[in-house]
Amino acid sequence: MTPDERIDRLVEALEAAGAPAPEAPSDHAGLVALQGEIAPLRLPDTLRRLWERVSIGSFALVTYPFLSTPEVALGGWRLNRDTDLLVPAGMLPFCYESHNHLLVELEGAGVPGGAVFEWRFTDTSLRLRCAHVDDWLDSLVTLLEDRLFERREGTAGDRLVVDVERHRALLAERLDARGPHPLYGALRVLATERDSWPDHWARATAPLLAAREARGASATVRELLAAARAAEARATLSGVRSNLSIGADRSWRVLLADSTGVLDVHCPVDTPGFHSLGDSPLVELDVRAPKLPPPRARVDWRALVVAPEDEAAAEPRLHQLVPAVTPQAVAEAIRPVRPPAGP
Amino acid sequence: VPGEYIANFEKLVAPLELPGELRRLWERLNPATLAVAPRPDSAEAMSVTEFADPAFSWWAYRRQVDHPGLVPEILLCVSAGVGRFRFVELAGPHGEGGMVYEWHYGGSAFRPCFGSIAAWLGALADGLREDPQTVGERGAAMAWVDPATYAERARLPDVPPIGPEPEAWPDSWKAAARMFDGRRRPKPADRSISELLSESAERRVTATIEGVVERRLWGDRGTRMLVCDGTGLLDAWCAATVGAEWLLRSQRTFEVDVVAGPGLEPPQLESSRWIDRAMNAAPPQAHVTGLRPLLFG
Repeated sequence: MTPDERIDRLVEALEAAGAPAPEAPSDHAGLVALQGEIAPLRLPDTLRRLWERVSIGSFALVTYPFLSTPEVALGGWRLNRDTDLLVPAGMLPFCYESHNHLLVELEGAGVPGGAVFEWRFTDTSLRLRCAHVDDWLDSLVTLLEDRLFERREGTAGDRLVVDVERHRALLAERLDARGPHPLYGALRVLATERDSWPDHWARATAPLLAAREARGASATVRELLAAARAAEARATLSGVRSNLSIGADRSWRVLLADSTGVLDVHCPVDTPGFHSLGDSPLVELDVRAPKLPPPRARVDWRALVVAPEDEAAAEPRLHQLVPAVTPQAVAEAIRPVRPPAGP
Repeated sequence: VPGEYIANFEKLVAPLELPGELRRLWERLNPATLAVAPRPDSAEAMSVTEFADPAFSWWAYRRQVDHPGLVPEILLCVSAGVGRFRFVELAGPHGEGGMVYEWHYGGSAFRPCFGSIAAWLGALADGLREDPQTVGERGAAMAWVDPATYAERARLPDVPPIGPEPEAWPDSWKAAARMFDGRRRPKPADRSISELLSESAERRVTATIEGVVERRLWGDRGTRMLVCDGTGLLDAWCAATVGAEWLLRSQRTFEVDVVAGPGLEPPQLESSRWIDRAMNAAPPQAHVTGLRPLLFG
């Protein structure tokens, strides 16, 4: 059965259960960004087509954990990539709810991909739930056909909330029926300790681990700023970070200090290593400094302050004014640096 | 409050005079050390005492004189909450003064709230007597009075408020304002931070800027701070010898006199934290030579 045939069956089952057919996404920007960032790893076809055809907000079936949007899935993947890599980089959290994930194994690095694991943030092991994400999708059709759900009113229309225990049992039956897994054999629980990872997990993760290693500064803050007076400049800087503000898009503005000066750096959310920013005050940043613009004359800075209503009458704070300032540089990669040992 | 400070105040407000009750209060104690306030409704207000330090009153009055038209010179600020200020009317040709007015950021009227400093202190004492359970501790112990009862006491319904615009001020207030016309010393910012950073990239520049200030690191020797005016961010070192530590603790918007340029010495603040030491190894973009709070708009 092709991925589209599987999704067609799911849509038919939803409609037969009295739920509306899901709508198509208004755009694929989130999916495109996800695919770009996980490359050279790839989404299993069924999941890719599901996200291409179904807007998650219009999907009336409520699973546990929730089926994520591509944006949320990418956010979870980045968080894992940038922090402790608690699970292999070849795993994408395509379902998430309250600290529990379903991870789908991505294709590439010599593996066919598709296996689905359950993992909570506090778990020290991954539990194999489906031999392939196709089974997970097919199980939803069975749940609908067997009416193993509860209909609940929601703000966006009726939702069909699946019977979680029956769903788990159904997945377990399908997994047993599949026999030994081509990669994991009879194993159903795999430890998350990196030393015990199968080789293909380590292979998929190795490039990301290498990308997190500090490389050493190529320039100082002072040298970068001097270069940017003539033309756009790029450099790797190493120093101490302190935070200036967090934008509405959750990007960070940070001040990087090295032994020659300080630099105001914008760190967009999609910067590789973004989620490691909070880990260590010592960082290494690959930055791009645009050619220094002509100086700006004085402005009515009080009028620039964006403050919540309850703060409007009080004195403004620095973080409210920082967004009005053009940053001196934009981060292109962020790598944490281990703090010095000892007191 | 030391007598010489009070004498300097008298020169500052002359030919107006400190009301007798305020003078007596300052002679006996610094009212900012009275750890009492209405129970706060925000985290920011937790450490705000009902009465301001006379040093705050000094800076506030300097600002009123140098930037006239918002708060009349006949009023002396003696209480600063979060966006809320109380002033006592100074004595002079118009009378003995002493009435306490309340004013808020955002163009409020000057609303009479206590007939005198003594009445104000009495209302606080009554609040403490009636509700002794409202004693909280956060950092230094603070005694809190019930804000609703206290607000009711801080009302003089028979005395009309005075409009915020100078045209609405009483003749005595307008006359008092004219007394200071020859003594104003405004020193507005002469550069944006963006301009300062550009000019000081290769050479030393002396300038005055203004903006929001945030303390980053501080110690006995001074404060490492950031200034932002919407055009740029300036990383500056303010040595303790500038004498602005208490201002930096209580205020966020300032006019700042600086010397900016390459080769300024890093402050090398002593700290047991390696992170502070690492941050302080970076030379600041500027050294602060003077600091004036931008009170009252």
